[in-house]
Amino acid sequence: MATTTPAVFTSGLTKRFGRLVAVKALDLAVEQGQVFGFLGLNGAGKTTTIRLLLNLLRPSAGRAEVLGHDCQADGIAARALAGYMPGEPGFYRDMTGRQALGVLARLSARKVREAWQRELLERLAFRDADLDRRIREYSSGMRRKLAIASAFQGEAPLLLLDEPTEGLDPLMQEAFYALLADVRRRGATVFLSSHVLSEVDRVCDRIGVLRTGELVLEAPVDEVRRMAPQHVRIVFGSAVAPPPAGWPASVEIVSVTPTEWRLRVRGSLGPVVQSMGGLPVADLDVREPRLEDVVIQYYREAP
Amino acid sequence: MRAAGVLVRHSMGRMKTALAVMAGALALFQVLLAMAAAELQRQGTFEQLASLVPAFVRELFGTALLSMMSFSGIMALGYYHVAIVAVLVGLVVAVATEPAAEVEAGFADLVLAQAVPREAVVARSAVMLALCPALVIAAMSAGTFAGLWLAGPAAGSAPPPRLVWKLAAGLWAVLACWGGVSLVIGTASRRRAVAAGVAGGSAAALMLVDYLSRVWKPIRPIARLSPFHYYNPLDLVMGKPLPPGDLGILLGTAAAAIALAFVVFRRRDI
Repeated sequence: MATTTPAVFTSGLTKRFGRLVAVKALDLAVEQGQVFGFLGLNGAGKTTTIRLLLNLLRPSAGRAEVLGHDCQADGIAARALAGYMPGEPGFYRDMTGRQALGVLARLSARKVREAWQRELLERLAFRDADLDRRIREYSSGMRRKLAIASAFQGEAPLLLLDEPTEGLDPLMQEAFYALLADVRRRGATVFLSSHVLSEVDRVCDRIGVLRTGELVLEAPVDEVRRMAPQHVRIVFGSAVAPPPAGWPASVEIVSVTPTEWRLRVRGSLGPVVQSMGGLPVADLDVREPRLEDVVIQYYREAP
Repeated sequence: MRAAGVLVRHSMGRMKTALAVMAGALALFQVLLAMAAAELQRQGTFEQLASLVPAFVRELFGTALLSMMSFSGIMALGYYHVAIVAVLVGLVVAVATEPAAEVEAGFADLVLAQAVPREAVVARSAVMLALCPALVIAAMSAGTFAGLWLAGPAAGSAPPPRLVWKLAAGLWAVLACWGGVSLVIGTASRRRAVAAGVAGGSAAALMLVDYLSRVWKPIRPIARLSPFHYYNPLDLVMGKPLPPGDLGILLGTAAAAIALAFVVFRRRDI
């Protein structure tokens, strides 16, 4: 059982905008050192939650803590421990990239190590000439890279990243994942909102799914993946009889022809393998369950 | 305080070109005004102009009108002419609506996601509101002195330096007052255009009310709501002192408004 202070903790956290309830009584605990994927459709309340953690928005009810510091009462201490990348980075466009990073570094409670900043900018493929250009000349991908640099440069123990890879090219996505792996190795916690389920599947330890402001699923990624069936396709070398009637309920028949069975199997493949004994199996294709098979269901309606 | 200092430096860096251009242009205007006043005095035009003013206009505006038609009156024009005052009000509105611009652009998110208290953002704006008009008015005053040195009348008949300081102090106080009010609007708004529209439009309306109240008695009680009511440069030209009561009202309003801006910005959603 974990005894450390959660990196992110919310209790009954609620935010109303007039009649709209953007976040409803959110109870969440993200352990330190985890990469937590925060998922949901547009308008589900992901960004609002992150902004509540940063005290940019005042909660209508409930409370939130960052590494043991109340986000409202002790907001300065809480934010001193967090690096933030907004979904839409709002840099002044008449500033250069270097100036923007400089101002944010000077405002940071954490000393920015020059060597780390240089390494970070190299890994994000920033050249000196890029940093000396005005941000108005940057592409949207460059602006996002600058926002990543600003979030990571303080080496904060908690990173709050709002859709960080949106608009990044595949090489930069890889560079970002490598950075994420590095900060995770150093023990930092990452709270990451994303639409990209394959990305979440790849980098997150645990996910939370938000639907219209309510947390409808919170579990480790492996566990969520196991909630989805495996897709099994068996091809026979010659015609065989239909599958036996006595299969357990965890095996669902999708389609059957004399030479091919398509099945959906939850849990163990044992009953299927047993029933194939003596049959002329030519090919067996098992597709691992994917996170999105489960998550998309939760987006639509909680099962 | 450190964060407020960083933000002041940042804002000043962004505004420096606009400030330098404005200060330079207004200083040059002051030099030209002094030269023009000297020329008018040499030609004896002030007396001719005064004799052309119809009696009813004299009655309406009193001796203030005649004081305008003097070397000091023309020299002081830069400190009360509606166009100059409008430009300076525009400057303070631009400075005071910076918090709204930062919220709108998302820069406030980046700043306030750091360990920066919200008060630092308002403190930055308050410092900028004191500093920016002061720098421009200081440049104007330097322009006035330069103009007097270049083309002023003989030492005995030249306007005293104290007049320039009084005009500068009065103008700064009225700008500080409106800057404070604009800051409340700027800290409460999500969009700079809206904040600047409300602050600038209200300033124009209040300036108009003040002008009208000088010729139309029924609106004089309303004119008390206008900060421009408490700045009478022509009285200063006529040698009257800067009224401490008026100065107190302007600076008191500025202080109260800035305090309110702190509260508004602390409580709002960004």
